[in-house]
Amino acid sequence: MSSGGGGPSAHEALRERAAHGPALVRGVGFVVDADGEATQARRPVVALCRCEASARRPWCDGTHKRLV
Amino acid sequence: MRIPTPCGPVSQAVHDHLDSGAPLPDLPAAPEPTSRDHALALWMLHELAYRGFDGVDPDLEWSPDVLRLRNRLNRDLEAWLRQAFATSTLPRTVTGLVDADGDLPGVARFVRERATADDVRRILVQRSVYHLKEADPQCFVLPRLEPAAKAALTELQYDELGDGDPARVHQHLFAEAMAAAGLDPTYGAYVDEADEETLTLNNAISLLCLHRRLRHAAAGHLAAFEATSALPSADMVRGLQRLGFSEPVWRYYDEHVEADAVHEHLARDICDLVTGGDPELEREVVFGAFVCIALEERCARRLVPEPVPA
Repeated sequence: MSSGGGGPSAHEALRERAAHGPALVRGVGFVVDADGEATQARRPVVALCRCEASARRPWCDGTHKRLV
Repeated sequence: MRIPTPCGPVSQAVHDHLDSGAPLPDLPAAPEPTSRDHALALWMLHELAYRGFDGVDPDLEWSPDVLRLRNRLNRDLEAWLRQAFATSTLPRTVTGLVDADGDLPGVARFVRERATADDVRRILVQRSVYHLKEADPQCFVLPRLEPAAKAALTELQYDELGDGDPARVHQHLFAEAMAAAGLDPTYGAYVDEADEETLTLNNAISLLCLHRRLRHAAAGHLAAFEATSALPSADMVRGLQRLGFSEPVWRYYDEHVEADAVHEHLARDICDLVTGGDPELEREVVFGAFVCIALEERCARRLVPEPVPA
């Protein structure tokens, strides 16, 4: 993941991603992250975190709203 | 559920009408939508459309006398809400209302930071009046929508109602939370304890969802409700864990963190689909969102004690 760094440009990038909110996806069985770890989807529509600030990745937990 | 205990002349008259068929009187001309007596009377009349009451004739739901009084109380409530909307300084968009809600000191932050276990039980008792019928009112909206909006609302409701798994129906999760917190999980168990603010919030949802004319406002209410839920639900989880409540108590809120992060987007889509960009209908959507934010804030003011100055 590339969310580290903490310089002004990293913050700007985070805000930019947060402003878009999550990606809503339908018909997902599993989400597999970069390390190969799979998380099962339990609902027909899921909101995938795009800002990388969610405490429940891969799912959105609304945290992006506190970043913009 | 038994018929609630009356608290004034109008709720007494409704109680007696449901209990023994005593005639319903005409109301005085002056509306009192925020008296607990009127709010409880309207709550009882609405409840005939949901689960009804033990031993009460189910046909009373459509009795002309019941409808006449229900219409009058609903008119009083709607007029009060429209007036509050017209004079409110809150923002005039759904997004603005949702953002404004995030700045208000709500129940969830209180639970996260400083509520006691008794405060939490008091809050759960008030919340139970809605959460034990959560998503039921919006089911009445479905047949009134065109296919695109209907499909979108169904998608949201399917998730509210457990995605086909009875154990995940949100009402059921809340009943489990009540029981695990040492409270009565029975539907309607705490209506006698419900504050006027709680009854009015519930009545407003029924008002919007049981009237086809108000379906756009019902969509706006849902959008605001869902969009102000995910982050506060996470605060509730933290507060309940801080106080040592067991997993079934916080599971209901834990489920809402992820669920409502999805639902808020679905509900916004529903609003766009029901209005089709018509400015007049968009104002109705905003009115519904206002009703949600304003009445939740009213409940929060009742439930959250002022912080003791340091």
